Amino acid sequence: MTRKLLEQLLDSHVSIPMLVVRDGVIVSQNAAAQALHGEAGRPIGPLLDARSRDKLAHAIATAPASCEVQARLGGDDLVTVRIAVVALEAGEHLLLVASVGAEYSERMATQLLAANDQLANLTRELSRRSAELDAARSRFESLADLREHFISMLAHDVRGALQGIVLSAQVLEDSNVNVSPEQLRSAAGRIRRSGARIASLTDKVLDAARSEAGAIVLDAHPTSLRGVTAETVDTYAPIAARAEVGIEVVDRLDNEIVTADPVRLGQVIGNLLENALRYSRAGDVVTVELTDAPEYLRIVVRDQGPGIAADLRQRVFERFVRGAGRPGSLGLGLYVARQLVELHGGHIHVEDAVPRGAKFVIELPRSRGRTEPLA
Amino acid sequence: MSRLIDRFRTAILSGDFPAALAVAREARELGLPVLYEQVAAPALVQVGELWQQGRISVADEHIASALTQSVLASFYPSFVWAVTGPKGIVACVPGERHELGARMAADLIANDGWNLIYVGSDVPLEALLTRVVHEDPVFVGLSVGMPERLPAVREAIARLRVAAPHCKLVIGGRAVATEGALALGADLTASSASGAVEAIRRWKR
Repeated sequence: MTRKLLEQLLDSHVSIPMLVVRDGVIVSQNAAAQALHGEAGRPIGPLLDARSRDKLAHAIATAPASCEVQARLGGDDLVTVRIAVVALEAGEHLLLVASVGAEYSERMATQLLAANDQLANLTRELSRRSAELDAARSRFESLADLREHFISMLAHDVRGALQGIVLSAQVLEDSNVNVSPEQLRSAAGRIRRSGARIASLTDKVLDAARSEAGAIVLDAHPTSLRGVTAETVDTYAPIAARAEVGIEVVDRLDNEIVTADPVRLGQVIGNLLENALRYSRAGDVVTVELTDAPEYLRIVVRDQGPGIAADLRQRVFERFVRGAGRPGSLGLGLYVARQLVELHGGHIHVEDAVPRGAKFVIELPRSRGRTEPLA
Repeated sequence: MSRLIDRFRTAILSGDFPAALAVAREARELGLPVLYEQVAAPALVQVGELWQQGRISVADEHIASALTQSVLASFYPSFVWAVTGPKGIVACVPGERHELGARMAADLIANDGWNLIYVGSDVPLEALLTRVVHEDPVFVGLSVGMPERLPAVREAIARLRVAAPHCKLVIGGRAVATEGALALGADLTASSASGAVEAIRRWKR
């Protein structure tokens, strides 16, 4: 750029502030620059924030270049400006100063407002999570107590069943050759029932452990809900008869086919029936009601027992949690039932039955059974 | 109550955080719904009107709104969270920017015994779907303030129906006031935060 051209540029009434700098001193400038900071002949350094001086020095050393700096223009307040640096002859540089003004402030404001939103959201989530952690810790502590209780109860149950086997064996051993067919049948029956009891207890413990580890894989295929229910009710009929409790099936199914693992589905219904029978008294009736909609099928198991207190309704599906005052349960049946229902992509919950009792409701999607283990 | 509103509006318009917090504490003593629906929300409506009348700048309005956010957020640590309560999720539809109302609704629902997760604004739909499948809530509430976001609501609802068929869907916010819930595919339209609290109570389980 010739000296003449430069002078013409500085004399033109361009509103962009322009300065010519040599060795850190403003040697000439246009009117817009003069209006900003005053007369030429002064060093440019004091007009800039300390850190900005290095930035500008770097831009001058590598010109043509540009940099964003904090400058004191016409007052003590720092404002942000962008400076374009062009090298002239004889160690001089032309500086063009552009305001980053309105658009910049607007972008900053938008970002700050968004950050403020995020901060409020984070505060909320942190506070909620902290409450969740507290609740989890206290659940963990009570789980440790429950686990201890569970082990002693399991040991007690297994020992009771084993005692039945030992006593029956002893009867057979003592009676030597004089054992009557009646005594033989009775002892064999006791051994079989005790063995079955131990097998059932260990099955539950194993199922709970497997489902917790995500190791249960469904063999899901189109299955008759009516058929599975009938088989399960049939299995539990003798136990119900002994307790003088009726089981009634109310079948309102239109389309009874569900994609499910029939063995696991039977186990779910069985666990709910076992639970209902445990809380029933002689003369009560346990109802199994089956209904369906295009997308899902519903199984409702209703008893006439004492019902489940509101504060226990979520927790009854957790491991080792049992209703009050009823021995003979490991507190795993409902836990396993929920795991299996969820593995089928369904839901289970409990509510109050009318006029009394508990009502367990299972909803299964008609064709959304998952075959992979739960993560 | 109008005195509390006046004091709160004056404080947020002058950027006076301590004063705004003091008024909010007084209102909080009377209950969270009082603070949210009878003090903070009306004060913000008045701030909006002042801007409409050209008596304050958009910057003043932004500062007032941001200050309100901060004041309300300062109560979170003392919230009693119903973490064992039934779960719900409230989100703004993707692209939505007016989120104070949605979070106030979320807090009032949480205050009614729900374990309410608020996922905020500008949540990509995929992220929302993943969260819903993971958390398995009883309901998802979608807030939409701007009418141009209604197609996004329709899409979100359709995708949620597939991803979480058992989940109830509620929509709220200014933009849905004139739209029926059914037209958008939701189960329920909430006309106000307290209306939503009342309406979804029957879904608690």
